[in-house]
Amino acid sequence: MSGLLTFPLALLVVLVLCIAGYLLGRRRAVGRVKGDTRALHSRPVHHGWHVVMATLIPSFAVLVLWAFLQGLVSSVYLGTTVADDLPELALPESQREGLEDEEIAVREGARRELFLGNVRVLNEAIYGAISSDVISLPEIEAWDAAETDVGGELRSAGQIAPIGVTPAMQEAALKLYGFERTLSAIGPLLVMLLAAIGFIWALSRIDGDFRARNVVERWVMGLLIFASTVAILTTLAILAAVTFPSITFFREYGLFDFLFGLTWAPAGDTVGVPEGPGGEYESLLGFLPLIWGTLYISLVALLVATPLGLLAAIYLSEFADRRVRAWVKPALEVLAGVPTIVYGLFALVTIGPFLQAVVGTTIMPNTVSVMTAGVVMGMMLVPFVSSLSDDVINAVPQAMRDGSLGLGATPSETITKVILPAALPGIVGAVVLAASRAIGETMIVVLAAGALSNVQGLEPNPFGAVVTVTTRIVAVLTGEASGFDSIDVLAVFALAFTLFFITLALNLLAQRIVRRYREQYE
Amino acid sequence: MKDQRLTDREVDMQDIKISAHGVQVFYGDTHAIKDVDVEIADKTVTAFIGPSGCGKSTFLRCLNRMNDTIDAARVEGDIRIDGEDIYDARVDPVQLRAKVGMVFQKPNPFPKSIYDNVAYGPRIHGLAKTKGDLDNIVEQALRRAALWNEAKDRLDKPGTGLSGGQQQRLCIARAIATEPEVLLMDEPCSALDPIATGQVEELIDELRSNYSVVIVTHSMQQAARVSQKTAFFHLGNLVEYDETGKIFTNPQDPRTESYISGRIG
Ligand SMILES: Nc1ncnc2c1ncn2[C@@H]1O[C@H](COP(=O)(O)OP(=O)(O)OP(=O)(O)O)[C@@H](O)[C@H]1O
Ligand SMILES: [Mg+2]
Repeated sequence: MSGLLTFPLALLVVLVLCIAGYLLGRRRAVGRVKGDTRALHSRPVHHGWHVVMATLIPSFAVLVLWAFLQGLVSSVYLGTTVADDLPELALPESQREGLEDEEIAVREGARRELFLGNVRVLNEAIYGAISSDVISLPEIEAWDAAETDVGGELRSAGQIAPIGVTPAMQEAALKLYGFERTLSAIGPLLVMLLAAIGFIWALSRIDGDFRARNVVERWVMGLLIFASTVAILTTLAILAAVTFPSITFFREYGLFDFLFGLTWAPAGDTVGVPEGPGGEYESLLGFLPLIWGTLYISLVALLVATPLGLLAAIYLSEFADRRVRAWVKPALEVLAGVPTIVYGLFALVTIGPFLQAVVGTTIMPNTVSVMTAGVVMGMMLVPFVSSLSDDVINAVPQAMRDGSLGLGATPSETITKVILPAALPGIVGAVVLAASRAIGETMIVVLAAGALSNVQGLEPNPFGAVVTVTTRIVAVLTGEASGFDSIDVLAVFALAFTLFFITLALNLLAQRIVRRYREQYE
Repeated sequence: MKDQRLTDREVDMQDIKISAHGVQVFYGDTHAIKDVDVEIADKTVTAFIGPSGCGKSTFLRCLNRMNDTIDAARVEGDIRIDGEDIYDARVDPVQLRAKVGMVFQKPNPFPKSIYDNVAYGPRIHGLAKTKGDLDNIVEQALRRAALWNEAKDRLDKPGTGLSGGQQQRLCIARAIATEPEVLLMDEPCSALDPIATGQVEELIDELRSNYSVVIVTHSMQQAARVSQKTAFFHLGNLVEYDETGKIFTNPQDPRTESYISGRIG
């Protein structure tokens, strides 16, 4: 029975009701006024959509809520089913000796958490085993954890199950399993019920005077508002997600030490890190060497991208005839679409060795360096800069060119004295946007900037390897050692936080500049 | 055409500055100027009149090769200034335009200061040796364009911040600061009040002593006031070209007469 009442089925029912509701709603609306649609306040389609909305919105809202709350509800349920005075939760007598009451409470709390975690995993395993038809529920219920190795049985059924399952665990897991089954049977039922109620209610309201259009349009407007805010909300969510761990980090490590520390050496990468007083490795998480690497590479990238991009834009917008333009502009835009990992590979296998061959191994010991990454990143940014600059140069009215040429200026005087100054704010905006991309760029620097796990000080040599903010985020998060609450990982959130703010500030700056430039011609 | 003897004699006394023969202009497939012949005298004000869209601006732009900047435009025929074919391959449009200045139909000040707008031409062509010279040129140009009183306290403010009529005068100042031999003015007074119009008309009259001026206007009174010769365009044709007085008192072509009396256009 419970197998039938699933969410997919409920969704199907809702869908069918929606289609039927649309068609019936339209028909009924026309019928109510005996075919004279001008007597309707709203058009037949509005009545159709009104039924669809009444069917869909409440049921869908419940569906979404259900999906979110199910986990929460079942964990509350689990918390209440497991008795506090369960014998196996108590700290064994042997471990209680010499401990304060407070400490005992903490340790017992931890034991309880561990127990609940095991129950959850066991519940998942039971669910997995049953739904893949390996073992049936009665069989599992028949097991006695005191004799049977429940975890072992489930593992041999292909599930992930805890070791040392106790009878209390088995009992709790089975209760939880039963509860979740009921819960997930009620959910779809509720959804279908709500859909049916909405369906009938909306159909019954249809009448010549019923203002279906107003209702439908209000909801459509709601949808439009939702669509426009969802991106903003996402940004806020991202901000919240990085802010709180960052604050924790700043509190634990110290904002000053982070911002002005000259050494980056997370304990997760232990090679060559000084030992702390307690014999363990201590993380040194200074921001300066990382932002130095980031800014150094970005600077090189901009020094490459700005002149090339600008000159390309000038050529395209002022000199290229239509055929060349039709060919070069799409080609540049294709270049902008090349995945950055490909640029990274190009840097690693082509540009790096080439630069090394040119400047020699004394200056450039590795093929990875500021120049390798910077030059390639610059090439990546050329289409970006040229495309944006081309737009702003084209936005300078033809009348400006005519005015200058009409006074006997040469085309190059016209460009340097009238067009570029007029387009300058827009071009600066383009460069600032490019800078913000360069700072956030990851793949190229991961491959071509250097992969030192720890650095001290600032590398002045443009042909030396550096680390950047983004590469360190990648390294720490993909590294083996660290758990999610280690100071290294918290530091990564602080890095992401800082990066977010730098690029945000740059984007805001660029927007302001571009806006000011637009106003000039309005 | 026997009545033209009197006119002929007057024109003969002056040199021909611009002579155009069999000029055709096409914008893609649109035939905008159809076989126009015209001779423009030196030290004269010539007015182009005609209904909107008849090709006045187009013809004017032929005279300093501004149509070169429009991809779709194609100019045929023979246009000579001081006897030199301006569409000859050896002629550099840049030099030509320094000699044949233009005030455009829509005011187009550069997004620079008022001073820099006016100084633009003199700087490019090296007309001023010193800063003082340049200041002088700018002041004179603004005075002649009747803008000095309004602009003298805000020379370093952007030219785009002026009113439409002030911008129009700024563009006139910019054009005369370059000291062209021929000045083409496309509706230079369209946004001006009667007082500024009067001042610009005075300027035009004054320019006549040194230059040849061609002015496009929709105002019959203005054409009558400032010009010595008037050309009437209609649908891309030059219908009638004669002494201004004759065009307005005794037009030969019925179309000219209807236009002047307000029946077409
Ligand atoms: N850039 C262009 N591209 C295509 N056609 C054009 C272009 N400029 C003008 N034309 C066409 O050429 C014809 C003459 O235009 P022109 O601007 O010379 O008229 P005009 O006499 O100056 O009119 P107005 O008094 O309104 O300024 C019109 O039919 C116009 O549509
Ligand atoms: Mg015109």
